[in-house]
Amino acid sequence: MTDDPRVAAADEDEGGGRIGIFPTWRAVYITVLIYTAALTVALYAMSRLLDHSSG
Amino acid sequence: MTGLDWTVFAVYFSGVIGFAYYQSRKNVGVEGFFLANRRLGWGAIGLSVMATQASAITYIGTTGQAFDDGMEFVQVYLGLPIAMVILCILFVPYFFRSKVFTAYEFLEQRFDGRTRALTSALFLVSRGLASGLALYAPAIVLSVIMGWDETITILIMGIITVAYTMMGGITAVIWTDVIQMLMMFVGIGVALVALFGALPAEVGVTDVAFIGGISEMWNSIDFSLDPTNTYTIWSGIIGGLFLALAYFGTDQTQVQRYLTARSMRQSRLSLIFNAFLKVPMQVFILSIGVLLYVFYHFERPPLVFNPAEVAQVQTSERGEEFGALEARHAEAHDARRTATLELLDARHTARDAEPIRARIAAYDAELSGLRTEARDLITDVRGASSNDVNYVFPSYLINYVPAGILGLLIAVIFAAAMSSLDSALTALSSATVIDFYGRYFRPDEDDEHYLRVSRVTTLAWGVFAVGGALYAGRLGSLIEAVNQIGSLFYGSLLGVFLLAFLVRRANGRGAFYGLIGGMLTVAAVSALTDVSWLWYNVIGSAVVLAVGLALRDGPASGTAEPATG
Repeated sequence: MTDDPRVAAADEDEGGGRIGIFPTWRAVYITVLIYTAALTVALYAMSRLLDHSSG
Repeated sequence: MTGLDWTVFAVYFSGVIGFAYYQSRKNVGVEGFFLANRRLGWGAIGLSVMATQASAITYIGTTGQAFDDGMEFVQVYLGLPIAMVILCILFVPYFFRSKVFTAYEFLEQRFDGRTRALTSALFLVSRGLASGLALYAPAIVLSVIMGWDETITILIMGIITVAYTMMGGITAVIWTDVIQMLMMFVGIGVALVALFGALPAEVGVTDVAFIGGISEMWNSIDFSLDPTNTYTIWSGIIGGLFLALAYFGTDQTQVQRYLTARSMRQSRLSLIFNAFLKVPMQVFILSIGVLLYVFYHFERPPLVFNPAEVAQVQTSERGEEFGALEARHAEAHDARRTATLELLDARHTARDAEPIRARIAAYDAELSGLRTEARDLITDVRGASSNDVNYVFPSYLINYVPAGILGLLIAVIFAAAMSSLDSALTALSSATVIDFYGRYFRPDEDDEHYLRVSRVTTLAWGVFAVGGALYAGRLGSLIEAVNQIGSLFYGSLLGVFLLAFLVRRANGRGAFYGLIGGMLTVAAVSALTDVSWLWYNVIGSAVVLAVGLALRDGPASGTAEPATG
C-alpha cells in the first residue's frame, strides 16, 4: 500500500516477476475463477444445509 | 444519541478532514488533482473502489432487504469476480497505455469525438442526478429515525465532502475512502457482534441458523430459469457480470480510481483485491439482515419500520384499519415468540421440534402477509409506493444499540454516503474539464488554469448534488424514475467499450449508432416486458456489438494499441 513515488521508477508492469504468491497473472485469474466457483458451491451448500422450511 | 456517541462522531469527522488535508499536500497540477500523479498503490485504490461502490443505501438497504427476503440478493455479486478478471485482461491495458484522464477520452482515440462526447455526457447526466440521491436517501432515513433535520443532515455531509474533495482532489478522496471503508468493515463486525449479544442468552449460533432456516432466509442460490425472476444464479452470474463490467469498466467514478495506480500491475491488483473481498463482504452485510430477522423473533418489531409513513396512515381515514393490522401483528408476533422459545427448549432437550417448527413457519407466513397488507394500505393512502427496507437497520440501531456503538454505526452510514459522493464529484469534475472544457472551449490554457477550473467544477457539482438532495423530497415518485435512468444505458456504454476492444474493424459510426440503438432497445424492453433489470446490460451490450459489427466498413480509425497483457 506504499505510495512512495520513488518506487514508481521501477517498472513492475507486465511480463516477468511473481505476483505475490502467484507465479503469473494467468495463475491469479484462474485462482479467482476457482474461488468464485467455490463461493457459489459454498453458498449452495449453506442454502441446502440450513433450509428448515420443511420437516 | 448520547454525549459518547457525539464524541465518536466528532472524532471520526475531524480525523477524516485532517487526513484529507495531510494527503492533499502531495498533489501537483491537474494530473495530481484528478489522478494523484499516477503514483498510488493497489491497497488504497482497492479499498477506494470498494468504498465508492458501497453507498449508504447499499449498507442500510441491503440489510433491510435481507430482513425481508433473506440472502438471495448475494447472487447479484457472483459475476463480479469474473468481471474483475475480464477488466484486468481487457480494459486496464487499453486505459493504462493510452494515458487517458477519463474512460471516454479513450473512445476518441479509438473512434471519434462525438462518441466520446455522447458517452461522457451520458455519464454526467446519470451520475450528476444520482449524486444528489446518494445524499438525499440516507439523509431522509436518518432524519426520520433520529429526528434530525433533513436539510442540516444533507448540508453537513455535502459541505464536508465538497470541502475535502476541492482541497485535496483524488488523493484526499482515495485516502478518506480508505478510512471510510475500514470504518465500514469495523461497523459490519460491530453490528454482527452487537446483534448476537442482544439475543437471549439461551440462543446459540446453531439456533440462529435453525430459526433463520425455517423461513428459508439462508437460501442464497436459485436455479430458476424464469427471466422475470430477479435474483437467480443465472441473472447473478451473467447479468451481474455485465453489470459489474459496465460499472467498473465504463463509469468514470471507478475507472478514475484505477488510473491513479503507479503501474498497470498495481491497477490490476486493486481489482483482484475486490474480486476476492466483495462477495464475502456482501455475505456479512446480508447476514446482519438475517440476524435482525432472528432478533425480532424475541423482540416485537414495528409492523412498518418507517415512522413517517406510519404517522401518515394513522392520521388518515384508514387509521383504524391500520390499527387493526398492528393488533393482529402483535398477537401473531407474541405467539411466534412463545413458539420460538418452545422450539429452543425442544432442541436443547433433544425432543421432537417438528410440530413447533411447523407452527413457527405458519406464524412467519402470517407476519409476512400482514407486513405486505400494511404496505399496500400505506401505498393506497399515500398514492405512492411504500417500501421500508431502508428503515429496518437504522430503526434497530436507535432502539437497541448501546451508547458509543450507536455513534460509530451512524458515522459508518455517513462514511458510506460521503465515500460515494466524493468519488462522484472528482469523476464529474474530470469528465467536465477533460472531455468538454479543455477539449471544446479552452484547449490551450496552462496547467494552473485547468487546476483552478477543476476545483471550481468540483464545487459546482457539489452544489448541484446538495441542491438536488435538498430538492429531491419534492420529486416524490420521480426519484425512482431518475434512479432507473442509468440502468437504461449502462449496458449500451459497455457495448461501445467492448466494440472498441474486441472488434478491430469497428468504427465511430457503428459505435455512435450502436449506442443509440442499444439505449432505445433497452428502453423498449424495460417499458414493454417484465424482464429483470439485471438482463438490461446484457441486451444493451449485445445490440451495440451487433450494430457495430453491421456498420464496420474498414480499419479502425483510432490509434489505440491492442492489449498484450
